[in-house]
Amino acid sequence: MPHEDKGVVGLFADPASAAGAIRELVGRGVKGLSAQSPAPYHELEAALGKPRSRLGWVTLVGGLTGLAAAIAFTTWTSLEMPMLVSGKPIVSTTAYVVIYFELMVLFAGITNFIAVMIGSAMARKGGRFHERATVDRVAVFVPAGSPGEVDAILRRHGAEEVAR
Amino acid sequence: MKDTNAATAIQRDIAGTLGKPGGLWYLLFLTCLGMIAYGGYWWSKMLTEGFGHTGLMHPGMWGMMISSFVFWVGIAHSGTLISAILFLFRAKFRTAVYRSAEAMTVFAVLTAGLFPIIHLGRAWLGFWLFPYPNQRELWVNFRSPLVWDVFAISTYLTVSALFLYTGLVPDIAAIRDTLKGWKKKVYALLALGWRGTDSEWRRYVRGYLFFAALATPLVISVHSVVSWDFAMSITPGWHSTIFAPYFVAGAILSGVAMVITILVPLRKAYKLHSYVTGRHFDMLSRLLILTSLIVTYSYGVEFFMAAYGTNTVERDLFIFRATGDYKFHFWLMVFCNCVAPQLCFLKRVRENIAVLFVISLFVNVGMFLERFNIVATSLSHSHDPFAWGNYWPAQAEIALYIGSFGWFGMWFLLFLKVLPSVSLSEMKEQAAEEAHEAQGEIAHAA
Amino acid sequence: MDASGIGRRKFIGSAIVAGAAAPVAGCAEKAVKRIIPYVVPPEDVVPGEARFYRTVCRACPAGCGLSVRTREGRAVKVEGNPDHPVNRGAVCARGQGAIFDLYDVERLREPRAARGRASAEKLSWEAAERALVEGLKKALEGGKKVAIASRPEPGSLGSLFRSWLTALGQDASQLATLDPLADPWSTPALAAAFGAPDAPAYQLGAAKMILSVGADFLDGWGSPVEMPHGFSEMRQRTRAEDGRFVYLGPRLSATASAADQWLAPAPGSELDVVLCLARAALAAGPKAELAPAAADGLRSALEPYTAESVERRSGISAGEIQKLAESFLGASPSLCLGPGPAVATRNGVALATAVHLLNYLSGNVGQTVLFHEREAAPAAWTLEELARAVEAGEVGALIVHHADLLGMGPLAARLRAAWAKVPFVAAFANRLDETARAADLVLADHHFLEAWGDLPVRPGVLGLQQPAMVPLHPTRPAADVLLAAARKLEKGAGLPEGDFASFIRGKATPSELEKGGRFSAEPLRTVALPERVQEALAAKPTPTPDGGMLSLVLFPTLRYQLGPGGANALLEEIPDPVSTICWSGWVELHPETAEQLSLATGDRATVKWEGGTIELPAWVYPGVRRGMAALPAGIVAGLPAAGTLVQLAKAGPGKQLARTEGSPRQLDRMLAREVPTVRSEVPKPHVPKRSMYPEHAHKRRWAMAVDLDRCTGCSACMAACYVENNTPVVGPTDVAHGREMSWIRMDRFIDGPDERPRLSFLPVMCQQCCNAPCEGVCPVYVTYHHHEGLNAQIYNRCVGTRYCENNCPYHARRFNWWNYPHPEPSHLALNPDVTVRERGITEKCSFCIQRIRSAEEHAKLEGRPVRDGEVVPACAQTCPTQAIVFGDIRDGASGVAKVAADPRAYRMMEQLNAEPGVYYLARVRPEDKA
Repeated sequence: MPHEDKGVVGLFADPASAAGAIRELVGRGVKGLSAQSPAPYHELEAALGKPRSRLGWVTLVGGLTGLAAAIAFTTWTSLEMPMLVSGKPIVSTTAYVVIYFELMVLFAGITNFIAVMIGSAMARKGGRFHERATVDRVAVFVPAGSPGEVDAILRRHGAEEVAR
Repeated sequence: MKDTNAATAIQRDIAGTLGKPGGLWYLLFLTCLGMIAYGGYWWSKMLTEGFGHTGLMHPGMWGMMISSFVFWVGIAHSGTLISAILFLFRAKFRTAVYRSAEAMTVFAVLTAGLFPIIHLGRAWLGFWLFPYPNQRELWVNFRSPLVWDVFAISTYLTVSALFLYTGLVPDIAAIRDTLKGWKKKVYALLALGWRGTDSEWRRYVRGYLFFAALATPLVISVHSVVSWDFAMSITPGWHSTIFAPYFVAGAILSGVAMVITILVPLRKAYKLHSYVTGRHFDMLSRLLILTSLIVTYSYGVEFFMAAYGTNTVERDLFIFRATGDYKFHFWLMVFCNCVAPQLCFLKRVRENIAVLFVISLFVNVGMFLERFNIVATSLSHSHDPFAWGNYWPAQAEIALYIGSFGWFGMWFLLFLKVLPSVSLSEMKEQAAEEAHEAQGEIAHAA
Repeated sequence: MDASGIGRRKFIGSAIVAGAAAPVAGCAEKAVKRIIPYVVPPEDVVPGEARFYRTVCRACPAGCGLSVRTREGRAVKVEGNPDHPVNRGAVCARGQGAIFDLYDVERLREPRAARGRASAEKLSWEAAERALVEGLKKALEGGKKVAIASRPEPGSLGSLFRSWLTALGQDASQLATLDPLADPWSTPALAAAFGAPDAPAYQLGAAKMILSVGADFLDGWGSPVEMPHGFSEMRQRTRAEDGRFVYLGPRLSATASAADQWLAPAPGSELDVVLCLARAALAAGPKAELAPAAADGLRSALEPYTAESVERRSGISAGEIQKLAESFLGASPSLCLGPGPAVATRNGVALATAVHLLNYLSGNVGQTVLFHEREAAPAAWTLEELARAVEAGEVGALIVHHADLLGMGPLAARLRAAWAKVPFVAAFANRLDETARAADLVLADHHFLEAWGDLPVRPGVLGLQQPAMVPLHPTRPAADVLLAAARKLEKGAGLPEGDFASFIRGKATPSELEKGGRFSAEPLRTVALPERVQEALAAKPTPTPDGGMLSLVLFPTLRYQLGPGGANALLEEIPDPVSTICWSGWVELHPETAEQLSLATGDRATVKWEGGTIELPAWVYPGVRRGMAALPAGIVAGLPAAGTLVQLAKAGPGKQLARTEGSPRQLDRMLAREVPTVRSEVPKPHVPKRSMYPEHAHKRRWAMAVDLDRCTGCSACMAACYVENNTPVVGPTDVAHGREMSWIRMDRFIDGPDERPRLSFLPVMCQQCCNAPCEGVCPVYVTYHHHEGLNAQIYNRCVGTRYCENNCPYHARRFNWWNYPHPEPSHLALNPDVTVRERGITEKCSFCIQRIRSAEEHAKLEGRPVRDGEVVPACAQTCPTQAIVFGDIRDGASGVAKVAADPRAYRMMEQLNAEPGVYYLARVRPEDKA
């Protein structure tokens, strides 16, 4: 996630007002807007109008990897150590389905977590817009060099604070 | 400037539950440690001297420890149910309670996971159950339901811990940003650099949804696997195809009951009345009725199959369950699981938190008895009548059971003081939505 | 392979000190600290190879031949000597327990001193011998008698006792014998019937019909291996016809349960039934010579015993009695056995005489009842005479030799009262029994597996006893101690020079020692009835129990027969086959009687009689007549004579009784099955054989077949299994908790209504299933299917989930609840071929895989395949009735394959599709005609 340090940050108490500001800025052709909020407010998402995350594909690949690993591992260990057990075949696929499923979910879960968190971890290089933006305020970031009266628009929509 | 923001109030209220514990907390914490010490004493005796200290015997090779294992797994499931399944169904009432439910899941799995290890005759070799490359060039038997258990339980623990953690990260970040000093550093480390930017949230929202989508089949698979610990055997009373759905329903029943049991005192202690409302309890008690009916149906089906089938061994076992040496346990179980929850059909009962609390306790007891009945009666009356014998738990097993509550309680108490027990971000989100709706309504009315 | 060289044995012995501990160290945890290997193995000892020495079992007086398995110089197991005509290769549970006695922790290791202080004061042998000489000298100087009380010693030792008494200037007859197997009525009855010959040898195998008059010959009455063996032979020959064995007695013992018909006449009326049969035999024309005068006398004496009159007294219908008479007289030869203590109460002599009479009239004498020519037995004191002499203060010194005078027998109370009148008692013993405790000097004898001796069982059968190992402790053989004492008293004239060992060796050739004895056919002696035999048949009236009094029934048990009860841990642990109780005595009551006394199984009951009282747990059993209290003689010490009236009362609830029974009924589950005739097909459950997968390709399929028609429940297999496989003995508390470790469980079912209970035995070991339910559930591959058809169990992989045992429908698996200790020197009894299992793991029968491996290795060395019958598991080896067959079932010519093809063959719980490798042959039980 590229992040420019320079720009204007507007701090809002109400997510709806922040969304209003964003809508107006977008309407004026401002690009590279981003927001910071304590919760995933729908209004903000809608106002920013960015596409849905394609995280699911990563999770899917993780799950499929788990499934493949489970099939390979159970088959290999069974053939490596061929033991007759309860009259069942050496590779008892039916019985291994449980393992396939569990490993698929495990891999998918771990991949999912890493995929979610890797973004924030990578972003640590950059600073935050505002300390309170994770607590009870919404911060709207407008990159430097944006056209128009950014400050004024932010303030008009009820920004408590506008900083550079 | 006076802050009237809803998010501010939420932050203040909920983050306020953290911090310096009070006298009651210390009392409870010490009680938990005492319980752990009691269980630990008996476990150490079992480790150093032998399993003779338990009440286990031939043919009752499994007993209260396995019952406790299933009991705790069942408890765990309710947490996932509330956080994941209700999330998928967009049930709003979940928001206030899901964090503690999720924490309960993790700690209950953590507790449940102890029992299969404690239960091993050579617990010090418990790691042999995991497939790892070793000098003996041995792998595990993937056909064994116990290996399925290892995979199911460890997957469940991992995924639900990650799920809990994922939900916590924005909250930890929020707390981080209100703190100073060394605590800030600790929370900063745990927050994984979370800032709450829109791109993080977009990822997060999808990821959270997938977690919920993964956890839902997982929870069903885990309890099915637990039920297959029994159903895959040929022991009468265990060998049954209804076990998987029956166990899942039972798990939800016991889990919901445990949620009520935990929420009632929690709500009182932390004055969370505005977050955990009567409506939440109403919904939970409806779930209680539903799962109780499924469980009752399952009991009926078991008896019907035994009576209708030609397997006399199975039939004798079910007669024994209802009329034999364990009949007191059986009928108490029927009362607790099948009769008591039906009181929730009455609105008055659903609204009376105290009565609901008592019913939830009954269900907890009943569900423990269910597991005990399944384990003990089936083994005691198996195929060869000459090898029959009744299992009764000894002090060691009771101590371990008590110790498991201490262990669970210890983690939960620590959790209460360290991490927000109600989701900050979701509460804030919900508050904003409600405000939005209210505004919309006002606008509409105008 | 038996050793013939004697000189070598000494050498082997010297290796023990270094070697004995070595192989065990690996097995017994923390038992031995240092490991001293055989750096240079002694000549003739191959480390890891077993050597067998033949000797004679002295656990009871039956005189079975043994082949003792030794490893690195120590005896680890006893097996039967197949060449010995008494036991023909089998050993009973009691014999198997000899190893436990040998290495018993409480065995006397050195002489002890002083009456009442015997357990405290240890003596050196010098001091002990001095004390013995002193005691004898005092008696001799005081002009008092020196007497010996011994266990039956019919061989060289008995002769030595007599010469020793003579050498001391005593009468050679001052030697009394305490024979726990002898019934008190047998000698007088023999005198009355045939003019005092020696006890006959019974040929059960030759009989076509057996009538047992309360003789529990499958429960340890008489010769505990020879009789079941003969019975089994008889069964095999005569099974095609039915109704061949009838049991007459008040209690459904294991013997009665093996019978085709169990008749329980009113107490005391057994005599009437036998006389009624004798009357019928006389009427049908006696099959043996009978003087006309004797015939007339008998005829008039037997006249009143018509079937109708006997029906009135016994409660058995006249038709039933007539049918019995017909089948008994119709079969030739037949055999009437008895009476046993259960029936010979007040009229023991009359009843025993009647039995002899019946056998004589039916022409059985000379066919199934054999009297041998032999020299007249030298005069000897009876126990009665000994007691009288003691009471009169005539005995100045009493030498007790392995005879618990104060602990058992009807004279125990009298002797105890007069004990103080004997100034000096020296007791040769292996452990401190009651008599040894009350002796002035206890002399620690060798265990019989360490000693020399001989034991003539009957003419033509002389068992030779040679040591299987050097003595474990500094003990000394009784004969040598007595010889030394005589020499010190300077009365050694006429006594053999040298020691007893060289004396015996001088009498036996090496080939005889290798064979285990001297066996030949000896001429029979003809006997005839005396003229006035009917006088001995007069019956004393039997008092009818009233006023809540119960008639006491005593019965033998396989553990200790009629006594004396010992402290053998193995025998204590092995449950009584009928009651399944172990580690304690018990009193049996009919359910109705028990209800009247408000006693339930497990309650403590006080048994009171004139002059004594005892408290025992009760066991409610429909197989004992109403109004009777049945007690195991030999397990419960200090009991009055059978037939005594006793009073029972509830003393309170008891601790949990140590017994192995779960439910007594098999609930139509078709576990121990029965068929009406030997050719009947056993009904199989209608379950199609279904499997998703192909069958295993076996290299071999080891299988076992157990003929339930031969199995008498004697539990010798269990005992052998314990010793062979190092199975721990756990004690009463754990047994009561269901934690016995036996790899073979003797299932005992009591089916049928309480009026006609039916007992069946079913030995259950691991069934070695092809599709074993236990295998699939083990997470760590501890148990899997071996390509030789075994269900393998790899102990060191086990983590102890115990799921296998839960999923075993046969419940054949055991779990190690504790680390069972093997205190020194009992660790030496451990079989080095079998792992000692650690706490926390599951174990089970392996079909004695160590024996399979050993046979396979021998075959490999000789470059040939394993022969059928070469692998004999310990249970099959010791089975007195040869009910167990073992082999490769894929080889169609093998014994086990043939047995498995029998129409009576079935497998337990076949409907589960586990494909077990243990076959059972259904028991033949002719349809009840009642």
